[in-house]
Amino acid sequence: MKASIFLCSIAAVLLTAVASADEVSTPTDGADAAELPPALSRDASRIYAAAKGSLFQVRVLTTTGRSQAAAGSGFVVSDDGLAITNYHVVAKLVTDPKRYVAEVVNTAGERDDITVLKIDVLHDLALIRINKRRGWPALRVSSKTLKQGERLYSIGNPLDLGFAISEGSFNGLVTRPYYPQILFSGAINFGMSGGPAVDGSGAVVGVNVSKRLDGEQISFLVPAQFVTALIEQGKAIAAQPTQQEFRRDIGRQLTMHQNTMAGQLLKAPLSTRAMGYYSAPINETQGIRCWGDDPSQPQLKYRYSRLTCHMESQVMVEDALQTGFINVRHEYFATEQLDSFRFLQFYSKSYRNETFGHFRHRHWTGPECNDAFVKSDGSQSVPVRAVLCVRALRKFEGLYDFALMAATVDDSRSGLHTRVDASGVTLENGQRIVQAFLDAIERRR
Amino acid sequence: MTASPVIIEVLDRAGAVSARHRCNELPVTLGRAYHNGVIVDDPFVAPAHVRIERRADGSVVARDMGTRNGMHVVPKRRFSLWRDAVTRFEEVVLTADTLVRVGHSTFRVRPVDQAVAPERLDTTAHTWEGLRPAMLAFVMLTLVALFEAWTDDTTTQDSLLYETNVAAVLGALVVWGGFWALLNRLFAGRARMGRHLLIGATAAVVTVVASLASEMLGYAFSLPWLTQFESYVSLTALAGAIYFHMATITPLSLAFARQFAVVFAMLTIGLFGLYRYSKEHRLGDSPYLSSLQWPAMRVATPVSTEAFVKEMGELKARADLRRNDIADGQE
Repeated sequence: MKASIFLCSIAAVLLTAVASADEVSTPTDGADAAELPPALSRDASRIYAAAKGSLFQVRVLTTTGRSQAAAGSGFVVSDDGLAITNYHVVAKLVTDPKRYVAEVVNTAGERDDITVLKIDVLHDLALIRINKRRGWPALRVSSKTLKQGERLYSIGNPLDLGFAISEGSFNGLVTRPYYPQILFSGAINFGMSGGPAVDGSGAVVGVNVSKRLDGEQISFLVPAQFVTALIEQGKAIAAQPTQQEFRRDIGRQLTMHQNTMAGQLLKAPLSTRAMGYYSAPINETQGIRCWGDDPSQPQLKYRYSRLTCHMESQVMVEDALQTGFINVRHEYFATEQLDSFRFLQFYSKSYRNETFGHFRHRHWTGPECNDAFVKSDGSQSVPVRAVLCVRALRKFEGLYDFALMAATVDDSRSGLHTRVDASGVTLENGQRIVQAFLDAIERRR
Repeated sequence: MTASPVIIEVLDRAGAVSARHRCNELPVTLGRAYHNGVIVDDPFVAPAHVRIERRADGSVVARDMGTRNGMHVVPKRRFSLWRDAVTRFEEVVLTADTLVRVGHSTFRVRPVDQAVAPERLDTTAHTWEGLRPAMLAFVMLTLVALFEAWTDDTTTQDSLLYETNVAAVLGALVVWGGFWALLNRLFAGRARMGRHLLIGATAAVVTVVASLASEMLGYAFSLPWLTQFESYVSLTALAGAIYFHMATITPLSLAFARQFAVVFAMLTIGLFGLYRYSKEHRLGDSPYLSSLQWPAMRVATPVSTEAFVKEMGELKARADLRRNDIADGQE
């Protein structure tokens, strides 16, 4: 019984432009106010003019053929060439330095190459150094707190069309799921990733990072405090760390992340929702949304309802390697019309229809599984048939994906299927999570 | 000692006797021309090819009469030295089992007092042919099809579910039985369609019953492997069906049918296993027990969550061993 969830699972999309447009117009040296949409206020023109010298576009190119693989934006933060962009803009460069190189192009059309000094995958930031050209002016990073409704200006190179500024307002911090982001009510677009968002004084208050595709002008910025912290951590680094060093750093950050995640989830007993005769445990901590639906239709001879809980964001390490999340799905089946034989056949078919990963995956090992009848000690506990699969993240030692699939087997005309996926966690946390969910599946009085 | 008559048997390519000639007196000649004692219609045989005569010691020999293509001895063992078959013989001493090839034809010479095998016990039920086994086959498979449709009948929408299922299953049975009947007609001159239908239907029933039984037993005793090899059980049932189909085609020997079925089973199971393993790194159909049955049917006692969770350590250790089995290729 797997169906894709449409609206509810659309997480914020990252805003790297991927070269797809047929006519890619390169930013010309005359990228001045004349290029901006005419509707902008005088303030925006003034702010753009002030920030213009510090802006650049980041282009990630393939080593062979130098064709553009990703494009984002960035800005200079110190006179000796330190600059900020998003981690996801330069992710290919960090994880696969043999196959990708990067260059930056400023608003005047000057080009340079870059060194990545320090990355923050959890907040999606990267500190880079512009290698040869000096004298691109730095933007000031703000440390003041913002008021609701304050005017902000987001700058970047949307869709590789040329530099642009868009106005919007500050609408508070959202913590989704664990790291605060500024909710910016203004338009930002693919390619603006890594560009600065500035206040009326021209100081950087955030970094463009993502937007919701299912909303209008719902965009997110990384708050400036994390930029300041990253500059502090990385400004003394002279040369680009090796791929191995970056990998260890990412591993350390992912380990930190999963400790936060598991800690949040398990700090109190799991809450439960009633599903038919059963209590279904869920993880309603911050940033996790549960969506229920009841696709039962009159022509079905059974009842079926589903509850899925997704984290609204995951940690993007590189293409096809998203991790650091816990998802939960419950499916309840019951019947009055069907005899138990047919119900159980059907119930088995749904239980059978699960996948746990493939052994040839680049980032994960194949699943190693174990299954058994399991029953916890609780007075209301029910026996379940459970299968548990573990796969290791190939590049990050000590981190695993755990998948639990459990089906209650105490009744022949109703049952609950529970699937829990914990991705990018340590064995200890995986065991705690699995135990917590298994212990909490109960029959209601 | 008076020379007893001999029988000259000309064989077709498949090794079956196509013509017999009784010769009361030797010598006799064999060839394409009409003056020969034994006439062979084979363009590769000379008008007068072989002369068969009796020596003073009583042995029978075949002598080449000076032909272009010569005379050869067919090796006794099928996989004997290839050389035997190409060596030309001027003269061959014939025993009852010596097969001589001239051109594209073979012959052997046997005395009339040659011992023959005792009669085979006839276990064939001669009345169990035609319509009766066919009807039984259709009834069996109709029941199977109805059962499968009934199992799938979880909505009120699909009103023709039963009819289409029965039609599809019976159609498949007719195609399968028809294929074997055609082979039977080719090799044995009669189709025995009813028998072949019954064999096919029985194999299908065995597969369905074995699958249900293994699911229930696997669930009861918590034995995942019982349910994970259903594809292999089906292939074995198919090999069994092939044995019985071949045994029904009478001129094929039972030993050949047995060998064929065993080789078929080993090949298909081996190839399927290899394919599975190359795709999934496992041999079974599913990585876990996937049949859920009545609560009362469960015999195995459940483990505690603690014990189940503890097992994760072992799975982790197994996954760790696989961490580097795809070369990173990036260092």
